[in-house]
Amino acid sequence: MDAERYLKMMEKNVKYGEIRLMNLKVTSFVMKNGILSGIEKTEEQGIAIRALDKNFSFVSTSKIDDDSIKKAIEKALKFAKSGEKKDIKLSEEEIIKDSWSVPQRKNIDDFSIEEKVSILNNIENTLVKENVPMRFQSLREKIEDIEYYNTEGTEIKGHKPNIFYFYMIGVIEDGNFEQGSQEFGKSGGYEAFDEWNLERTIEEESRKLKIIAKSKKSPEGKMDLIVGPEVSGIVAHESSGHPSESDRIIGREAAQAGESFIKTGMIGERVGSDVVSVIDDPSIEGSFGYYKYDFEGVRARKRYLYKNGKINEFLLNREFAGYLSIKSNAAARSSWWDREPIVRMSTTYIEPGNHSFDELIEDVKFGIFMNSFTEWNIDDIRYNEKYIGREAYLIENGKIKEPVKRPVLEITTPGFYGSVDALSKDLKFFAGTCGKGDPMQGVDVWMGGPFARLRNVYLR
Amino acid sequence: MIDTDGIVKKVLSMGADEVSAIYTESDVKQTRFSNNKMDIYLNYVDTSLSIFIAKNKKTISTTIKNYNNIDEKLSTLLKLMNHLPDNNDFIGLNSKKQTYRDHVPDGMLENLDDLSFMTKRAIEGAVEKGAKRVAGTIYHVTEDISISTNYNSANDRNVGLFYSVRAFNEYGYPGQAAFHTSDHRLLNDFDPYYLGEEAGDFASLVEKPKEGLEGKFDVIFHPLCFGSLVTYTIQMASAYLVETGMSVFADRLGKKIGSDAFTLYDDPTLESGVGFRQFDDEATATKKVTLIEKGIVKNILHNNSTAKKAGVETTGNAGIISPQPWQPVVENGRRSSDDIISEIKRGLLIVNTWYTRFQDYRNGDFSTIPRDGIFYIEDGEIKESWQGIRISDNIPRIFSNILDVSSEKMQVKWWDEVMPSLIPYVLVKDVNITKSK
Repeated sequence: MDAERYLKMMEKNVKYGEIRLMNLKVTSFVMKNGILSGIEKTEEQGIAIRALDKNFSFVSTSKIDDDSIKKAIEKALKFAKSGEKKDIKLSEEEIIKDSWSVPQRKNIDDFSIEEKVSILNNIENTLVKENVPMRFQSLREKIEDIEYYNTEGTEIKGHKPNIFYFYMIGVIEDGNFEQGSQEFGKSGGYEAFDEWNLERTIEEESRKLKIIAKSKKSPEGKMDLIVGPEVSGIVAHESSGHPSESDRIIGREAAQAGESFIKTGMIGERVGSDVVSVIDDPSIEGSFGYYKYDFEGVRARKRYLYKNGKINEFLLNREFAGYLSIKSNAAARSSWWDREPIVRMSTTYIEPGNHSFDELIEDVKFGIFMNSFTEWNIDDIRYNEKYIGREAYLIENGKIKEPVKRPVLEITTPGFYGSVDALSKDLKFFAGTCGKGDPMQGVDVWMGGPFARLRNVYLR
Repeated sequence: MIDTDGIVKKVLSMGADEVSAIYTESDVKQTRFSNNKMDIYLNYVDTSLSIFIAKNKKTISTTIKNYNNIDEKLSTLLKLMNHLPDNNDFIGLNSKKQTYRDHVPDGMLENLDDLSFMTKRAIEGAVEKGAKRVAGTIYHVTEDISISTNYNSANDRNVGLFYSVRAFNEYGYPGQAAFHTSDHRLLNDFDPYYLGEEAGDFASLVEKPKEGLEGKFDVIFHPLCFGSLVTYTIQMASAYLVETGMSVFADRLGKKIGSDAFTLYDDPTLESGVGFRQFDDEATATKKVTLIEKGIVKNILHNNSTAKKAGVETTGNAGIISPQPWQPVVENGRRSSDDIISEIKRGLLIVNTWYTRFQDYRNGDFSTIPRDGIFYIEDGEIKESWQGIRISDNIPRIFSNILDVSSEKMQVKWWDEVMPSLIPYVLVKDVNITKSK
């Protein structure tokens, strides 16, 4: 692509411009109750142009010949000058010239179709052996190549393969239904499956679901609660990551995913106990949401969103960093070649503490251990949230007792973080697809954390 | 333009048994706005060729956007198919000759694309009604689509406009209005000012919100809010999901899951909505499908393969892998929403909801978070606006507790939570409301 010529067209006419060429190779497999019902193999290419003058404009096209690109640029220039003038000042950032790539130990292209299908078949066989009646699996491999250029001189080429696996199963015991699902994702190649040990994980899940289906409903009232890393992760993502997104804080997502209980002047305000810090870090190698540079060409780095219980840093792109007169921390991401870059998370997690899991448990007289979750949701300012346990147990006198069914935690964000008195030293990550933007953009993320102990919270 | 007939012939000549080729050219313009100003003007230009191939009981799909070397790409796919296991879910494409309705897209709507001006008007309408901050989006969509299979060919052009406005009062309390249309006659002089007014009205109805209460309340759902519940439910009517067993429609065909007042269709033939479709992904002509009639499950959504397995006719809802709904419609009742509200002793009017999640897809246990206007009603009058509540209930129970449905219906579509649909106000007794403790 003759980026230099296209950038010159933009430089002369607008304050700022950028061009992104993306190539996406995606193969996906869907298996339902043992039948490989869907295989899709697709390769897409497209160009996205973004320009800033009176306003931002964004034009994408799947036609990547010279005429079509020039036409797209002309439209972007015209649209950037339409509407009422908005005083947008981008943060000043380092000019980067670099290329990066994510290595694969077991290359996606070297793996045969039979080997890929056999992954699903092996899990299917395990589930059949466990008499699981409702079985759904999907596997997706994605290779993303990106070329990014802006009118300030930044030029970046990136190459990122990743693997995603999802299962959902349902069991019926004594007429009681229980469902379980989990997502797995990693940047890199098929070596991911060596780490995930899926057959064992899903075998255990199906056995646990059957026990839970026959269990008693959990008790109601105020009690202590220990949550597992899967629950820590979703809490970190929903009630720390999302409310720290600067576009929500400033109101740009107001009509869709909403705003935030956090306002621009709240850095330093307390939202949790001293032991709680929440991090978002795109630079963790192998993570599902890994990137070296964001979609505005800014170098990725670790961000403390909450530090020792206090609001510490927002997730920023260049527009909102400029608005706050600070530097971007590289949170601009786009899910596809035809989507505008917006403020997103990557890997969001509660920072581990110093305790062992046993130390957390032994100090609980009466409570619940919620190791994983099923239904969850949170309001559009990220303040009132709900998590229902999938795998959960009663705790009595420092010992884990019988399984209990679907404990419900309905709590506020400060209510959750303010009740945490101890964290384990474990750290485990879980994959997810984070939805935001209009049109909707699902981006690959990790979320995680340690085991966390909450004191005296209301469960039902 | 790509000749889809030619593509089908080409793939068949390479040894395939059955082929569906869908070519789409779309031009979508959009504005997004917040804090009373336009944030960005977007334009998405896309062409795409989606091909489904069946050969020797094996199937594969692809989407092509770069049309160089198509023969080579197709040949690679067909070779790859030799290594796949059989897809016993696939019985075959619909081989019956289809007749399609005449469809002429709305030319007046087609030429309408001054989204900057429309954005300004939507904001002005909300501010006029007292809103302090206004946000939203406006979309203008044109799409040409052609399809060919071994057995049928068709093409269509769709034009649509949809927009949503969220307005906030001085206490940050929001109201929302959202609308879709493929018919300019449903627009007031093409002016979204009135939609801004509607959002502004909700935001300004009661000034300072109160924390809501837990308990059982009669709830009158605004079409936008009920449209969200219907959207999540109707997706589960896909025969593919029903076959997994993890759907509220599983084992419920012919059974009652709603009150007599509740009738639900999937109606892609409704031309005034942006969910209008002439044909599905197997080139089957679409039709209005009755899913729930007076509370009884009458049908689920089928493609040709799921229908054959169930011993029925396809409903024209392919997705070749998984059938899908196009445009939900809830049957209206006889009384106006004002009349229904006037008789509520103690209840809520809820304008919108989001983040609907199910702990149990099979039985329908779920929760969702009301937003954009939650109003407490006493003796038929709105007394307070609430915040901080959640509906924690069960879909069949909500449908079974429907007491009344309004005479007026609205074409609603909002972001990712509400499909383009035509929905009335719906009154439900004893809805379970919970909140954080």
